[in-house]
Amino acid sequence: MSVLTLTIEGRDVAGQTGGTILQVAGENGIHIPTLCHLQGLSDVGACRLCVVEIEGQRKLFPACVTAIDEGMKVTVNSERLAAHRRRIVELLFTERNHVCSVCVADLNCELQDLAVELGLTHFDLPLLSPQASVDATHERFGIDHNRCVLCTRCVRVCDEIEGAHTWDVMGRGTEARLITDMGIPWGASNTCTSCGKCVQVCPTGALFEKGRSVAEARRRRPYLPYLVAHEGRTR
Amino acid sequence: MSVDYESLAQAGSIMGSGGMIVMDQGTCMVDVAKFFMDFCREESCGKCVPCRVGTTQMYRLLDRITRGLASRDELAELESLAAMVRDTSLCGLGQGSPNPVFSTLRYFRDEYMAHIDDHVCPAGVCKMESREAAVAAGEGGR
Repeated sequence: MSVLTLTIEGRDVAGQTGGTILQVAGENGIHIPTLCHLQGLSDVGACRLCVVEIEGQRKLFPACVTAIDEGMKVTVNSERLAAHRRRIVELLFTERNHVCSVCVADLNCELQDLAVELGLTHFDLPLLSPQASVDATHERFGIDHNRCVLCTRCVRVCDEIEGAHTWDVMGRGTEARLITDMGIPWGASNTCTSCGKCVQVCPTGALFEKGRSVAEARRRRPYLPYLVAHEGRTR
Repeated sequence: MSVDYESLAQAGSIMGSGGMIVMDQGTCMVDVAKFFMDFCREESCGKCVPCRVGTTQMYRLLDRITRGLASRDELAELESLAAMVRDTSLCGLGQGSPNPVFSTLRYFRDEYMAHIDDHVCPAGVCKMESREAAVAAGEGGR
């Protein structure tokens, strides 16, 4: 393992070979907005919120899956990036039916936090208002597809940490939906171990524990120490 | 114009599978842009946000223009959304999806403006709808 030196937001920083821009930025206290990323899980680069500019490159790069390089000059905050990130969050809000006031995750929601952080005060685009379903067949948990942002954290934690691979994604484009097993009701799944990891990693109120009313959901990620242990193992 | 990668790129096009579409004055360029956006919306895998939702939103804006319902604000909205989807999409499908919008706006902006300002489709392809009726039917306008 050799050390690489680079510049992020004009600051000289160093990171291990193979480290990502997101990782090295985080180690140096430089914040990059993320949504699909969760420490301990593999990265998929799907939400595009962590896109950054690299000097000499025309394209934008997702910080979570872009490896650092010697002499790299990374810009995390620019007017263009801020506008793009705000637009991404706006697209997520308009895609399904996000109504904070009646959501179990109100005030504990990463989508809501992102809207506040990025200054999304209103929508310019119309709401798509799809007819999405709710599956409450599981004894302890439920999924409201109206609140799902398709970050696939639940898919990854179920596959990579629990080893059950109960969750997956079916369909394409805006028709894409999370499914349990081969598209059966969650309560009928015989691969689900009812561990609840998917509920704890969900950034919004899509996956929830039954019996929790509005604004009562508290994600207990510190109670998932194996996420960090897993992180150490893969590096 | 010679048919090679460089010349096509300069004109705002791509080689693709080498196919060529011949159009005349009877083709509405906004309708063409809408057709290609519908294709990308349909083909989007849904993994990344800009392509999954962005192509659907761009298709809706183009649809409103072809129906004579859109305002100049909505055209500006389409242009900014197109730049964002090009810059942030994960793969070539999303990054390339706004290309027909960019190139038709570059060469045929007047056709867009005719739909928006004059409520007319110069090629006679698009059926213009009444804005008042659309608003009354709950399809808000700006």
